[in-house]
Amino acid sequence: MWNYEKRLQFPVKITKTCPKTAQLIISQYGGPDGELSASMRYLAQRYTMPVKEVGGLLTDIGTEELAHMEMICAMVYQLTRDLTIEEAKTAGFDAYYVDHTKALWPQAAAGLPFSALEFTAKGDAITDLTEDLAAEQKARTVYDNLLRMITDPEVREPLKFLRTREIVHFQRFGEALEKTKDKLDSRNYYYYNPEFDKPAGFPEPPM
Amino acid sequence: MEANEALAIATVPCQQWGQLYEEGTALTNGTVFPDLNKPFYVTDTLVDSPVTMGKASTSLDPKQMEREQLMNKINQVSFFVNDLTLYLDTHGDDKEALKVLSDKGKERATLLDEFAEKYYPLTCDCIAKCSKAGEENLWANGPAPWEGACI
Repeated sequence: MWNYEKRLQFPVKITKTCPKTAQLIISQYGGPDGELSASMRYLAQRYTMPVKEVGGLLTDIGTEELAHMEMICAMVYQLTRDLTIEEAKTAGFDAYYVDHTKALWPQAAAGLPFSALEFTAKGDAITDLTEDLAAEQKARTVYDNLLRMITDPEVREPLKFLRTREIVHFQRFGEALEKTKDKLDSRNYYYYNPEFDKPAGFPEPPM
Repeated sequence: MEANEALAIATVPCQQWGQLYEEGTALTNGTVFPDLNKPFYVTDTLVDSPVTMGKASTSLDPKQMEREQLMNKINQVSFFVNDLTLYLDTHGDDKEALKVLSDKGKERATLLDEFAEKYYPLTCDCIAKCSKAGEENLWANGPAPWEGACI
């Protein structure tokens, strides 16, 4: 189960209204490489993960991604908190405003709604961990792109924090993949699927 | 090829325990490990003006400044706990890391209790630690985290 802690993982304090920036950053809420997608990906994959520590890591990173989603939402909220109708009309936020006013709704920067199609749980430890490594890199690229476009330091500091987290998570998923490989035969890692097949001599979960 | 390298599969070297940042630097940089801090230098020249974060706090009344300082400390210590927890997920037998996690965990519990006693509870477990427990709805006290009022 989860408990709520009434604070952000990293402080977000944005004083300047900027609907255009909000419209870009919202991609990390509901976009293909966003924090919601990340959290759901890891929390979905953990149940069938054959190595116990890897399931634990997916739980912990999946939980941290929820805290990142909250940071992104706080940024979008603060960037549009004092929005006037004139700002909504002129600053590239008009289409979003029509459907959601100032509410937070998970969508990509280009307006596509959040979808579970943006991540997968494939049920094969090597496949899923390789997806997770790629997912962290994709999210890092989005943060790189945002940092290229956004100049307000109050927005950049939390974005830089989130970008570093992607790199740390990449390292941990790499170590998780090594732990999984340790349990398999290095002559052929693909001889069977440790999440489905139970060949003789393969340790029963939890490994 | 290294011992753990094989064809047709990804390989990431396992991180070795090393130097740690102090708490404030760790939170600002997004990791407690200098080894994993890989900043994106290419955009640093794009910044509008020197970082103004926290500047607004100097004009606050002393009571709120004190509250924000305690909140900052909680954020820093809690982040240390977060990052070390992930490290220990893949380095379960690292005694040094376990010791640091245990120390920071105790410090965090004390700070959360102190915040609850002085201001408002940040977790449901801290509600009982408030002196006003049972007299009002403490869980609804304090600004919502996304308001940015109490960093």
